[in-house]
Amino acid sequence: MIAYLFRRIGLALAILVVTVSLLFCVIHAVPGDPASVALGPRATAAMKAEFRAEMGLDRPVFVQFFMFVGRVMTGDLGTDVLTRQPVARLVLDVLPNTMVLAFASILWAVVAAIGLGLWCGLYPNGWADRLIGVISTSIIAVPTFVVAIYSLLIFAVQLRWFPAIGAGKSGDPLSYIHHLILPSFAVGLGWVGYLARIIRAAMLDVMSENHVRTYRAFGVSDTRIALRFVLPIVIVPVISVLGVGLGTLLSGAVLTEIVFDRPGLGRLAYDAVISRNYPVVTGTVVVTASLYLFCNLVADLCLARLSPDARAKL
Amino acid sequence: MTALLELRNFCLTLETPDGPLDVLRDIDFSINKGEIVGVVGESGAGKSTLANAILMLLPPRAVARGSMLFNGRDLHALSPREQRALRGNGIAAVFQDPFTAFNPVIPIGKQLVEFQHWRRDLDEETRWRKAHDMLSRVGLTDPGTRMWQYPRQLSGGVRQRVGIAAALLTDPMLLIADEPTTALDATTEAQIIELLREVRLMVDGAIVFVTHDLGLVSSFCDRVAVMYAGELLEVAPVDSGFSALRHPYSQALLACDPSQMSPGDRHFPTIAGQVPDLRAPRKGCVFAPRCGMSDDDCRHQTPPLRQVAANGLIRCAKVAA
Repeated sequence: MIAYLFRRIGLALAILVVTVSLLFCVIHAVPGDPASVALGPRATAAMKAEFRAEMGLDRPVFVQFFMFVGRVMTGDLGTDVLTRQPVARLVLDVLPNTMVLAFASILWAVVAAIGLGLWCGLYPNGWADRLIGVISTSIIAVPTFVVAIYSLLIFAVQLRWFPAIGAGKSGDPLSYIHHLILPSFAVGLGWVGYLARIIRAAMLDVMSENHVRTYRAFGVSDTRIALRFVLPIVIVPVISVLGVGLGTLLSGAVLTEIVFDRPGLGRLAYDAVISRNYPVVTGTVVVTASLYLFCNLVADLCLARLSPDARAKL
Repeated sequence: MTALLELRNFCLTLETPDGPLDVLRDIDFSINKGEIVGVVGESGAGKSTLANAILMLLPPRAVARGSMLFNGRDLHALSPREQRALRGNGIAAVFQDPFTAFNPVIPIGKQLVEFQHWRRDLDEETRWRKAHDMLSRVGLTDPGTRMWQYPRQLSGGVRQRVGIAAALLTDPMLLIADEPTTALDATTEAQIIELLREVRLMVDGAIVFVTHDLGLVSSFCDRVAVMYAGELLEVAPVDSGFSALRHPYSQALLACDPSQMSPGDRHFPTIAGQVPDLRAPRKGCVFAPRCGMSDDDCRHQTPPLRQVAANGLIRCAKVAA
């Protein structure tokens, strides 16, 4: 288990290095001179040269590359060119908001999907199954930001049940949760149907297996079989999908943060892109990628924990 | 002796997209308390279907006709809830494939505790201890470790012992053993059969032993029921081997038993022809097309299942009473 853990962490770090390298290439491929952006159109050539020297932009590209990767991998994300604050500080300030949003969305989506998926799997082709099938397909097809905009319009603007913008007053957990409900609803909604369908399909497979017949032959009720003996098996594909799908979920969270004007990684990245604030863009991307890799790692460890077969292969 | 399980004209039809399929036809037969009945026949004869019908574990599109009385209650007239209340609580089963019979992600001990769920009078700890003791009674060493192991950590033979322990834990009146040794290798099979012999003494009810191994039936069962194409062709006592078996199909099965072959035989006996298509309309004796004794009457008139000797039944027009 320990050896597996180290192997997986090593792999995650290697992927992170590749990601950071790709990021460097993308930034250098994008047209536009960071010096002109940072200093404005009226900067003199001397000022630009000084800026470039300061940022290391006058060095050869490959030197810049190694400096960049080295810096990022040691946790130095650079300095915001506009406010002169360290990027790592900016990112860490807003990171909890995004993580709470992502976690709350996953949590409610998984809980709802387990309920619906088990129901559909126990009573396949019943009216509830058909209804949930149709609704979930339609909702999966709707992008998160559309759900976000409409839920904002309906529940915040029309019905006034929830606040429309912000993340709540600081230090007030109730207000924080109140502000969290609509965004996490929007981010999670598409996942409910998707995960419910995965659980339903896995249920149909597992319920026809011999071990389920054994439990039936001993008079155990189908509901209990589903909850106690089938759920631990069908939850496995859900975790795999979540581990991989976290990227999609984060991009949904980013757009949702912009719609609800919530401070978070998404807002930070968005503002940075608009103002061509390269170090901040880089910082948010690196942190998002790390988050993604971390969640994948956690998902794999969960799978190893849940499935004796997977554990044996460690 | 009173019948524990009594089947009268029991028929089972599966609704398939290609039309109804008669998987069991006119089964007339009863099992007494304390008796071990072997059910034999070729693959597709309906042995396992009969076992599943007794367990009331049938596909949703199965229609049962006739009656199947367990302690006087018609099993297939009960509500699903009443049926469930008998499973694992009066009727128990040991299945064919021990490799897939247990949940792969739950330790064996927790599963054995679950199988005792009808014993509401026992607390969790007592059930665990009973399961632990039962594992050692079925011949497993170190039951304390076994209880915490996952099915994949156990060999097929050990798993089948666990399967037998599971059934015994419910103290069944009727134990259905559906080919419990078929999936095992020869050495393990011999050990499990040895265990089943001991089980015979532990069970205070009847055992239905489904198998295609005639040798096993002769050494293990009180009576043998021979099935073919969903029909019961013969029921006979197993007092002194199979001397009481007289149906041409039973004779043909005996002739094909590899254990009956002498060492020098170069020829492996088979029954010519194929098991009939269950979808085809039923006419005459089901075995007539493959039977050496059949004549025109056999092909046109279905012989009734009639009483022969003391406690034998036979469905053949050619065998004298």
